[in-house]
Formats: sequence, C-alpha cells, structure tokens
Amino acid sequence: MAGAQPSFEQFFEETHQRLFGGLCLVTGGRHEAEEIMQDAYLKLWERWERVSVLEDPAGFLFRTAMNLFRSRYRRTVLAVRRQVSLAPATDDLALVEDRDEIVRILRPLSPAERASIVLTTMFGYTSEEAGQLLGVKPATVRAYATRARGSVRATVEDRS
Amino acid sequence: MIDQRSVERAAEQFRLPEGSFEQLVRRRDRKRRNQRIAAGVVGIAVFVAAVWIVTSGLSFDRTQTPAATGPAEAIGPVPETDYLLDLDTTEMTPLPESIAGNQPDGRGSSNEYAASPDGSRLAYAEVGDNGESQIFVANLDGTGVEQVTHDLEAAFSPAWSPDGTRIAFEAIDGGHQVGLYVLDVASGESTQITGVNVHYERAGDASLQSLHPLEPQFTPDGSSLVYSGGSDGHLVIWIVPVAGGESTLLIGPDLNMRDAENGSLSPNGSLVTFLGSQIGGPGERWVAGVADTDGTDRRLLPDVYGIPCRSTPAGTWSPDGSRIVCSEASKVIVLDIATGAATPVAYGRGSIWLDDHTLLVSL
Repeated sequence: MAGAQPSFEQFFEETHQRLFGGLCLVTGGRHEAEEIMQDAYLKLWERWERVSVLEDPAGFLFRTAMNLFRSRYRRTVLAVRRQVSLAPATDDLALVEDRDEIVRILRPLSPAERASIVLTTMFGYTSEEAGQLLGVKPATVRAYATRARGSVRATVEDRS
Repeated sequence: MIDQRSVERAAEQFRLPEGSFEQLVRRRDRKRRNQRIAAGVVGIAVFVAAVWIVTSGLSFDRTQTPAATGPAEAIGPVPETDYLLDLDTTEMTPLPESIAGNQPDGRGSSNEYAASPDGSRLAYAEVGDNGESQIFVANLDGTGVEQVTHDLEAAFSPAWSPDGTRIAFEAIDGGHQVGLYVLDVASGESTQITGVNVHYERAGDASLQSLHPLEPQFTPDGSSLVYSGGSDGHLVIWIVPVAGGESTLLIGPDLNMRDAENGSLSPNGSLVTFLGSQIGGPGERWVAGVADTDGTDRRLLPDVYGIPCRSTPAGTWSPDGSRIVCSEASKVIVLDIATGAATPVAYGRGSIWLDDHTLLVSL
C-alpha cells in the first residue's frame, strides 16, 4: 500500500475481514473482536491524513488494534479479579471448534497466548515486534509459542 | 501444525456481515455527538455550581444522594500520558515516560499508583520480567525504576505504609492463592498477610470461586491493613493486623446496602469511604458513601455523572483529610467531605493525592 493513498473506506474494505478474523481468534468472541476492530478504525479515521501516508497503514492498524486489545484485556483481568457482574463470556471459538484444528488448539489458551500465536503466525510479526505490541518481552512471546506447541502435542496425544 | 496458512484459514471462518462500514460511520457520528453533549454538560455544571454557590449555604444532605454540587471547574484538554495536576494553577505535568509507559518496548503502567508518604516516590503495577503485572517503585522524577516483586505470579494495587518502609499489595501465587502481602522495601522480602484459594485458570473465564482480598491500605498507625474481601458471597471491608491474626469486619451490609468495597480510611482514621449496592426502592443502585470507622453515621456521596465515584484506596484522601479524589465516567472529581461539594477537575480513569495541592491522574 506504500505510495498510493487509498480512501479510508477503501482501506477499511481491504483490511477489515482479516483484522476481524485475527481478533476473533485472539479474543475468542465475535462481539469483543468487533468492538476492538471498530475502535481501532475510529482511531485511524481521526488521524487518516497522517496514517494514509505511512508506508504501512495496515501495520499501524494492527498495532492500534493490539494496543486496544491489551488495554481491554488488562481491564478484563481487573474486572474478573474484582468479581464484578460480568455477562457470561461468549466463546465463539467453540462454534467453529469442531470444524477447525487450529481453533481447537487455540481455544484453551489464554488471550495473551492466542495473541502471541496470531501475531507471529498470521500477521508475520517477529517475537520482538509481537512483544512490543503485547507489552511483554520477546522471550515471553517465545514462551507462549512453546506452550502452544505443547498444547498441540497434548491435543494430538489426547486424540490418539 | 500451527503455521500462517492454517491460522489464516481459521481466521477466515469469522466473517463480518455486510454493512460494517456503515456501522462504523454511525459509531463515529455517535462519538462526535457524545463529545458535544459532554462539553455541554460541563458548561452547565459550571453554571449550576456558580448559581448554587451564590444562592445556598453549604449543607450536606445525609439521607439522599446529593446532586452534583460545588465549584466545578472547566476540565482541561486530555493529555496523552498520566500526569500530575496542580489544583491551584491547573498546570499539568506529564509523568516521566520511564514510569507512565509509552515505552519503546510497549510497556506501560496499569494505572495503579501509590505515592510514598513524602510524595517523592511512586509504587505502581506494571508488566514485569515474567510478563505479568508486578510491583515497581521509582522516584517521581522517573529515576530509580526498580521491580520489587519477583517470586509471585502477578502483583497489583500497591499501597505504602505511613513510614514509607513497607508496601502492601495484592498478589496471585503460582498455586491459585490470591492474597495480600507486605513487602519490606529495604530487604525486598514479602510476607503474606491473608489470602484465599481461587480457581484462576485464565482471564475471561470469570471462574473465581471466592471473593478474594483486594485494594489494601495501611491504617494510619501502620499496624493493620484495610481491604475489600468476601463474606457469604458479598464484598465487605475488612481490617487485618499486619503482624498476623484474623480479619475483622469494618464496613458490612447495612442500611439497605447489599455489600461494601473500595474502602479508604481518612488520614486520622476516623472516617472510611466505600462503595456499595443500595437495595430497596425502585431497584438496586450502586452508590458511594462515607461513614465513621465504627460503621455508624453512614451517608451517601454525590454522583456527579450518575454513577458512583470509585477511588484508589491508598490515595483517596488528601493529606489534610478534608477532601477525597475519585473518578466516574472517566472524569476525576475532588469532593469536599464536609460539604459534599464535588468538583470535576480532569479527565482520567483514576487519581491519587501527592500532596494537598497535587494529584496524579492516570488515563
């Protein structure tokens, strides 16, 4: 996308399904994924004149979305710790779990672990970049990946 | 195997329906409208406050939740990072980035600050070396940043002792026990004061099986901790000796209140603020209140924006004991405890007192 300056609507159409899918895997819920996605696009829209000329506006979008995820995740942790009345957590991953091995593997992981996997595999970030986005050390991202691989092994062993 | 193609394929199963962009446009328009309304509300609050000051005496209704009162000030622009607010001059000074976040490595504090008694140092919760929230201390000028909890799975909500030698905090250990700890700052050793076992498999599950202790604050003599914790499935405010012993109830359900939490003692230990859910009447309502520390003489505090004001217990009271600071609807409000006059002073999700003239505001 470098060079050309797409309209915001064009940028939205080109990027939103991929972002939404990734966020669904990270959050485990369509509703929360859509909330984060819309908040991220709103932030970009307000700064579109500056963002549109960046070399990689989509990268800026993913970073913004991950910052929002990180902020919401932190608040969720606090809310859980405080026992406030939470609506039952939606688990949209469960709806597609039987159809998809990856979803089945991701589902039992924590949101932070899922975010590490999605950022490094789907969006192609290095563990250093993913660590920056998630506010953790690169070593932590690599540790999450290791644990995820352990989940793969455990899943396979369970099934066998 | 987990690779890009398989994860992409998994993500593609989640499709948004047509009309997402139109939904985004509506959301943007709603946000703009709300911003205009908020600006209008602040203006009206200033006008009403001015009229109130001229036409009425300073009396604090002890039976009903008072309406917003007091000399409301126009709230200034929203800074980009946590900041110090001088209440006399309204000057805003950003916290050093080494504390407030926006770090090159993406880290940032979690808005849980506590000021040392002399106001020169901060304790706060931030992502630590294990990738989870841990307690850090730093000088107010941003130097001397140091992680002081290491051996616990995660730590939150720090509070300094009155003599500045200890820090109380909440923590999760590796064995699903959540409790309150006291750290000796000089030696770095932490001692568990109280705790409960919880099932804490992953965030988002809401699967905690008991109400664990949270938001500790030292009593003025430093001998005990005040905290919120469970009792028969409800949150109440407890007090427990630091030297060890049983917790005793400080503020529990009463006066049509189902529970009580977010307790904070005044500097001389005579008053305690709290949040509770008021039952009866047309429906349950979340309210903020203040009471004598024996639980008597409870009265409600104003809710300026229609929701009760939540505070950071360890930094709620001004050092002179005349005012509290709390936040509701992302606004920081200073409340005169004698008159009930409430003054919105800043945007922010939380705030603590550094001294009688200065607030630390977190976004």
